[in-house]
Amino acid sequence: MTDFEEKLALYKLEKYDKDAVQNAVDSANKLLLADSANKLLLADSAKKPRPRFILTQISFVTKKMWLLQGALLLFACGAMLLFMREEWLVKRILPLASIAAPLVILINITDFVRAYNVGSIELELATKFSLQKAAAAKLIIFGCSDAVFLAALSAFAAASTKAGVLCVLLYCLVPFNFMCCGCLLLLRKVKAESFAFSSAMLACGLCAVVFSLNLNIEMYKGAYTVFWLAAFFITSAEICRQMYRAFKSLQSVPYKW
Amino acid sequence: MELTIERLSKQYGSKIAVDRLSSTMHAGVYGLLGANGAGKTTLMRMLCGILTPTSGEVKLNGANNIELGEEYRDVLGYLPQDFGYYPNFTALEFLLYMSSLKGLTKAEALRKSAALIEKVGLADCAKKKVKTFSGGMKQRLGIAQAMLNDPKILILDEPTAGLDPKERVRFRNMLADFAKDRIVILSTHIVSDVEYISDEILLMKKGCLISRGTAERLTAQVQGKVFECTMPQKQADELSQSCIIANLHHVGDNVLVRLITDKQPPQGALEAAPTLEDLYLYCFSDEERGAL
Repeated sequence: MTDFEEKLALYKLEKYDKDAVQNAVDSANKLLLADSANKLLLADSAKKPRPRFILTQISFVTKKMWLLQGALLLFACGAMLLFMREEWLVKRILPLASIAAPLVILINITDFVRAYNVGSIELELATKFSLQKAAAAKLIIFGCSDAVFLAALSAFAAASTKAGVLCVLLYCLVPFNFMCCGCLLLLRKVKAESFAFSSAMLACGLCAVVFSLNLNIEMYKGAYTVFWLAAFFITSAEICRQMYRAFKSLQSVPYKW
Repeated sequence: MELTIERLSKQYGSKIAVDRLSSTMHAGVYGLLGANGAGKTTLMRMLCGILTPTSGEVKLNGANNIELGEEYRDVLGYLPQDFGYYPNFTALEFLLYMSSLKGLTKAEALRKSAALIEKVGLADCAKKKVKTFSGGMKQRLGIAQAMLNDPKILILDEPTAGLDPKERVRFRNMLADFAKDRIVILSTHIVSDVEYISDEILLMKKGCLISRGTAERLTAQVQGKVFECTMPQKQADELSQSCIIANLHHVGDNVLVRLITDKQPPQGALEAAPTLEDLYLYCFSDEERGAL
């Protein structure tokens, strides 16, 4: 045998692992899946669940707002109790409820408008949660608290006057909706510093209108329910339209640069 | 962590604010130096995701910052050049408001706000309205809000504007502690701030990155071009037409001039050790003259 043949005879071939290729493919698949799962987890954790975000935002609503809302409700219900004693004053309960409803928005506004300043937008655009998201969360919070307020007010007024709860709710919601529409319009048209004052003037005007109408027309009679319903649907549609425009105006700010 | 800028451009009509800028950043302090209108603020806004680039991308660990969205902004802290504020908020209320936008819980917000207010030296004014604050105090409040969410990427646009020297030193020390394992990008016209705290300096001119490196490496570019000499006032006035005058100091009837020039210096001029300010003047003097 030649040297070469001897060396070849001594050379030991490593055992061929038939499963090596498949193992490599399986390992690569596992790594890829793990990486994708991680990415999904990150994506999911980055999107905070809405209820949790809203709950977090609740803690940032000032105590003053909750106290004022509670005080308004107590005042309105207390006034209704007093009116109940004199029969000729009972019919004033429903207008009182209609007047109190828009005022609750005024309280929300003092909290909401403090943070509505277009001059600071650049700062807020770089935060984790967008201004729209935070504003939407606050509106949901205020909406829910106002719904509770109106339900309590309506129930009390209905019990006081022995009227239907749904009818009383309607008498509260229509002026409430008018106030919402007016405030949303002011939000886009008026400077931030004048917004609270303008809203207060709007609330006073609305209360005066409700009061003066009630002096001349007994608008809480059944014959006028159709008008109340029509006003409710029109104002609700207008609120949706105004809210859409208000959010759109917030979204267009970045393009100013 | 890696922040990558890939051929980033921003164009407004025919005006190019940022022109195909590319860079990679890791943990450390990066100083962005440039004249007015160089594109620093535009770049910073694109890094924050506030401005959409005309072309190019900003990536964090390989993922586009705009696509990451909330995940990217969660690790971001930003102080803009024109720091808007809510005049009727107190300092604490403002920090709590920003905390709510940054995703902190109320308890975390209270704890961090108190700590940061102490750190920036506003503890005595925490319950005073921001409209009563001086410019320097507002700036310190702005720095505090940028750090609320313990960001991994901190972008500061002219953070020392309005701060007196003592406050600037305090800010530098605070930033030095903060910058460990984080990316800090700050733009400033105060060259000394960038010189002392930056690990790396990026020079921007007309939307482009013209140079980057440590302060030592950059100042080496003007080695042999900086001179000092004493001369009559009239000669100094004539010299200013052909050279960059970095400093003038009257000594009796004469003037001690520090000048930067590529040409042969006047007779009797002695070579001086260049500083970062000399480099700044050398790179941007034509733009400053144009602005005047």
